[in-house]
Amino acid sequence: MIVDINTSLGRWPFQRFSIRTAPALARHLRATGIGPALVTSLDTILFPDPAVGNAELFRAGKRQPTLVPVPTVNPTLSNWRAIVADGVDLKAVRIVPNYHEYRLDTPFVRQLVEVLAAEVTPLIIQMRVEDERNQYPLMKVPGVPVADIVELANAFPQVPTICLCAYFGEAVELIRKTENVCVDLSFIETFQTLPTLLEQVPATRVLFGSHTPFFYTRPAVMKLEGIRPLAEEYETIGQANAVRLFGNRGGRNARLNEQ
Amino acid sequence: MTDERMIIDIHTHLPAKSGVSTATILSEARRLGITRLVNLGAWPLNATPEQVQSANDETMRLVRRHPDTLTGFAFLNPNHEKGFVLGEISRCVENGGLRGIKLEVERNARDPRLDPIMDACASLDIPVLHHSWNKTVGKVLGESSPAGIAHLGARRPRTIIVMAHLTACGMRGILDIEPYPNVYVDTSGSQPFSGIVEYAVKRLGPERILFGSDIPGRDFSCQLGRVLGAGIGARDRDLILGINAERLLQL
Repeated sequence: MIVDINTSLGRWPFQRFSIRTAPALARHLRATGIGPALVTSLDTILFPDPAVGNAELFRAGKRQPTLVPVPTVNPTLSNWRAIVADGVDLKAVRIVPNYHEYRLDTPFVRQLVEVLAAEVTPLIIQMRVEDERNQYPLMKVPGVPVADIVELANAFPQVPTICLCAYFGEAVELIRKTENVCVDLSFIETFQTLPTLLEQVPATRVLFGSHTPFFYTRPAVMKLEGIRPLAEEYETIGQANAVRLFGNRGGRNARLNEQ
Repeated sequence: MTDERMIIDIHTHLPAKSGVSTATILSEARRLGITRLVNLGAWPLNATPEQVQSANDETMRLVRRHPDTLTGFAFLNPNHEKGFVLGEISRCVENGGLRGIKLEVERNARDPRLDPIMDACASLDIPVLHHSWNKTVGKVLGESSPAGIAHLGARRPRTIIVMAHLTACGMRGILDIEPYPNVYVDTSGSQPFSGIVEYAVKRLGPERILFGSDIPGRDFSCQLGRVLGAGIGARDRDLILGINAERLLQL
């Protein structure tokens, strides 16, 4: 069963999603061949206090054992420590630097990552959620710079750092310049995407991520199917990397732990 | 893909600048059940007349070599002298077996310089596939938005126009072309953002939507996935994946 590390629930002003609830998301993923999934709250991105969206997400996910809620923090706000401390069964923490308007070299970020380092909690960096070329003209938000991520990751090599929604070239650069950065495959695309990507980076650094419900889920599944003949790489990207990074950290999400 | 439905990709670029061989691309298409590719060719930005001829020669060569798999369109740069442009249509379509015209970003769709090309295509009953994108950043000089394509469609209602890049044109782009039944759209462009195929079916009808991948810069599997993953009926899906293109190209 595939593990999806890039899904979300909530509202987004520029797109109307057909998947709006946790049960609907779990059903949809199951129907597409996906089992456990990390899920974040979209309402943590634009709403001023991410704790509100996190609380809604954790409530919504309670009855869905395949959904693994991941809290989002804004390290420039005073409540990030409480969110991390309250994160029961914390699998990872997500940050959204470009929408929350800070650079990764700020002391706030360093303080957050030091806390994560103590428990070796993975840090998820949302590089973008949209194609910058198609953004609403009054809300242009560039992607998180690769150089900033490389610098942070190399300063904290013990912290697994997972970058969501990197483009192909960004993904290759992030992996080559660090020891601890992985990427999801949602935004990565070229002819024969995964065979081409794996000529440049090891499969251990790439995870299945669909970016549902922003994206149709099927394209990511079909990209993964492109390496079906390579059984080991298929398993590594589709499941094993996610279990290594997020599984066996205790908690209620037994299915992720037992994969 | 296990069933026998016909899948026609209206938007491909061969030979690949990246060095991927045509044989590899055709093999990958076969693996995914794509039965025919429309080759729009490969050319540099602001191509000279010699570069246009060279690109079209290559398209004609590939079509002759793979007649069961490839259909070709001729690329034109409307900045060139009218006699040359119309001569290229005659050389490549009337005498060379190509089945349509590709226009890119050299001249905006609102520009009347396009009109003689459109009229020639109407006379020959062949479609024009025109680049389009609703860009917030990175717009190229001369690049057309869907509103520009709509303008062109209104000016030349006898010409069939395929507006490229559905996802990049967005809902606004769909609304722009909706009043003009001679304007179609292909499904390529940007990332596979959800909901856009369903919205296009609702506003335009499935008959005006054509599957396109834009390979080799893109991945057949990902591009097919956005159609196969959309919440549309089987008949609508089959129209988009092949039946519409078969009709349009008179295959």
